[in-house]
Amino acid sequence: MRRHRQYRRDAPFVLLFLAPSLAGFLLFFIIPFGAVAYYSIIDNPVNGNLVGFDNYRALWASGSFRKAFVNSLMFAGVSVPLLFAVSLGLAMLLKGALPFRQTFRSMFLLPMVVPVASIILVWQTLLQWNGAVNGLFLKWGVEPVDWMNTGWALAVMLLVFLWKNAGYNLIVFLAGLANIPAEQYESASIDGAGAIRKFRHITVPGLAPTSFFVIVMSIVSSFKVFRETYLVAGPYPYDTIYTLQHFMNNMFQALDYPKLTAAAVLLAIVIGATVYVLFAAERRSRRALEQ
Amino acid sequence: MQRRKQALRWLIGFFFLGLLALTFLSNTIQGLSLPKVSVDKPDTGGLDLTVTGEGFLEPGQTAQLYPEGDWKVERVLKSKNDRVKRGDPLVTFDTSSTERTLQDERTRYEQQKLQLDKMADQLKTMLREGDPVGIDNQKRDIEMQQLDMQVQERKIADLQKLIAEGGTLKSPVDGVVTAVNASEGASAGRGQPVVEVADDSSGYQFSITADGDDASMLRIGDAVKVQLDEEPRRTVEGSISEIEDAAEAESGNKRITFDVLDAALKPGLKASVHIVNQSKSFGMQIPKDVLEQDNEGYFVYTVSEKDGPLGTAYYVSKTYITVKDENGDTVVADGLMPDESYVTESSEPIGDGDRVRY
Amino acid sequence: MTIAMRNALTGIKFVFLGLLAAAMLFPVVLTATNSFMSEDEIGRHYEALGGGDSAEAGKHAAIRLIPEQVSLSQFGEVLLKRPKFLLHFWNSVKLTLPIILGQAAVGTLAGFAFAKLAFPGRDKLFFVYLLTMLMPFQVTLVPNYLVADKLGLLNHYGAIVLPGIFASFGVFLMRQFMSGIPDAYLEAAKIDGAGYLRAFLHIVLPLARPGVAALILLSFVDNWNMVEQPILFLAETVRQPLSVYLANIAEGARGVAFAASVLYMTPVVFLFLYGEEHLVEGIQMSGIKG
Repeated sequence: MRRHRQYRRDAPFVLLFLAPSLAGFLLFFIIPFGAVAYYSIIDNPVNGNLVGFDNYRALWASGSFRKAFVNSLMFAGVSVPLLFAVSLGLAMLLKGALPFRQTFRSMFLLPMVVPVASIILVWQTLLQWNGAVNGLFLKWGVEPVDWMNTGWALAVMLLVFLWKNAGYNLIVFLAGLANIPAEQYESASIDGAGAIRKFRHITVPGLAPTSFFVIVMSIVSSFKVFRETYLVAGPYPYDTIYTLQHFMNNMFQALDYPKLTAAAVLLAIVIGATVYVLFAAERRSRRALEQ
Repeated sequence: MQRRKQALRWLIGFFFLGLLALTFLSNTIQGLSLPKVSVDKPDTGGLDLTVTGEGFLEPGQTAQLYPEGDWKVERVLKSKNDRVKRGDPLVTFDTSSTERTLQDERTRYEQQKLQLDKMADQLKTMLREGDPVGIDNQKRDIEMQQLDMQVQERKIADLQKLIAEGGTLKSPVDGVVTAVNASEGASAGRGQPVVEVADDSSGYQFSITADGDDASMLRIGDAVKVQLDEEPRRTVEGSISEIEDAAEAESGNKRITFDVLDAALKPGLKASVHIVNQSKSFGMQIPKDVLEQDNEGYFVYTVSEKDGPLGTAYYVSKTYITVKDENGDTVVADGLMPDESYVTESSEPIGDGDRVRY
Repeated sequence: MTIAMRNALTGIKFVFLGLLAAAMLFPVVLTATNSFMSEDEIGRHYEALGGGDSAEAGKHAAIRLIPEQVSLSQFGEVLLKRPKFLLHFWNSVKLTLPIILGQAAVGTLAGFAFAKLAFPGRDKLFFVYLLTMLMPFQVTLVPNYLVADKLGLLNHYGAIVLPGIFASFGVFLMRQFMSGIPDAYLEAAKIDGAGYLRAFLHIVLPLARPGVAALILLSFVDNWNMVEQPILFLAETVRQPLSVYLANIAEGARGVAFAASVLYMTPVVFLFLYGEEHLVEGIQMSGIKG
């Protein structure tokens, strides 16, 4: 077969090109993940007794894990659709001809590169109890809010999440929109379709592959919001923004490896399953589109 | 677009190069703004409690000689600082006024004698005449006259003695003339001593003032060597006779008096002592003026070095010490290592943990 | 739709986007302008933030965008009087630079293998790479720690740099980019008698330069901002990168923190302005067909 011949011909080059990456990848990611899985079913790294699912049971029994797990899911569940909507909306606004279109794009993208640590200061300035926002509230006769220590903390985190990630998704959406052939819109216009109809029948299907990607990346990003939360609120923030990563970091500091590894495996399974489902859905939608 | 990229490339380059330059220079730049300190290492040992001082010898006792009468000074035989022996004549007086009085008294005595003779003759006449009352009277008169004459005799004897003895003032002791208040030809007042003679046998003293802490090891009766400032220099034995608070009490100073006993001494001679003592406490010697004090006690700033990421850096820190002993300018303390450097001076006020240069 | 209506719509769009952009840039602008205030002025505006109980009720931080007097004193203080800032800055550089370079090298090689070479299980292996890319750092935290311990890298930058170099993002992005290079170019090279190695060096690499630029930018942005790895793997404070150090001084040294923040974001912002089109291209690349 031709394929086999190519395999044989390429084999030395595959080794040459892939070996460095694969070696490091195995050493730092695959083997560690295997180790995580193994650690999650033994009592501790020193004794190494198999305990089956005991660690998972203990983990699930832990109130702080359940809280963190639910919070992380909640955050992803709320932030991903929100981010999706906001960035798609922005992409639609920036799609057509517009003065300073390029400049707007740059401005929306800039927050992505701004390091979190350097805007923490602004954050504190605005949102502390004695911060500027409460100062304004007081002036307007609105009750001040303890932003980081009440339910508002979640809203604040969502806002920061949107601020940071909207630009990235905007770019992806703009690329996706550019890939939809302009003739489709033109022919729809000739058919007398309105803006909403065009959106539903051309834009939405045309963006489907992009959308899956955006969702996957948003989920990943929603897990990365830990960085911001940690820098602003430290290892033990207000309840509603105590995420799985806080939990895992704290378990690490407390050297509670069984719980940590069990949580890691659980998180990996959840993410892997989500990604798998999304990719499968994407393949199906693309096949549907191609037909 | 291309221009902007060009500019940005330069900016990025400048940014990193600038920070790089600042990093390499940072120690120097830092150094310039750091307080500069001078340091010293402490000496180990007891505290040096040396008492040094000088004073002028004063006699222990002085004989004050007064004139016996209101005479004019005839001759002054010795002058100040002359060494005299017991019995040496010092001053002679012109006693002529007293001699004249003596003459008068003698004359009066002759008169009284004549009177007595006359009364005896009268008595003989009365005996012959046999007047019993007159005889008794006459006898008593004669007796009275004889008593008067005895008084007169004593007066004459006194005057004679006065002239004989008072005419020449003699030194009652071996010693040195310390003052002469007489000039030849002038009359010497009765109220004031004409000559003062320092008594050798009573010894000499001198006093010095010393820091109270330094003097804390001295005791009354301690024998000391006293240096005398004369040619040739010599050292004599002395002893501490008195330790008392100095005139300015709040200074904490002490006034120390020494007795010096020696045959050939003069008042006013400069005497000095140098008494070396060491305190019994043993520790680090630190100058008093580098000591500082806060609620927790005395401390000094010590310098430690740390190998920082940008080279060696020096920091000062408070080191608390226990003061065991002190003298005028130094303390002996515990709490410091012998090789620990303490700050003696700084260009700016420093605080615990400050970085410094030196 | 009339022309007038369309213009009005564009106008509304324009104003809306303008306001939104202003809001998004606000934190950056505030940081930048406040960095030119004197420490004294900062102190006055933000004294209410002092901390819990020292702040009186009714007093609030004041947001001022324009300095009363432009002053470089904060920069002077940060750069000249606080050598720690520079130290942590170079820590960040020392962490970021090897990761970027290593990732670019490893990524181009492996990306080429995934994009242009045929071997069994290629797509499945690539999917595994993709999955790991999506995992949060904490998933392999313990074993990573143990591996670092085994290799004697604990408290060394190696514990962070090595996993960083082999992070699958580089491979992923380069594979995406190289897939876009037509196979015909390679075929042409092979007909000329050039092997894969020469084809890679002389055809693929020059063509992939924008992709490498995109990778460098995205990786720089991500790693310059690194927080999790240093707080878990580096025990010593002096070895922490600027990201962690800044978060710590924000509270205590507000007077200079704005200037420090500006200096911290300067390299990324400059690079962003310099290579924005590469960044955009990189993001688009990562988005087109998973």
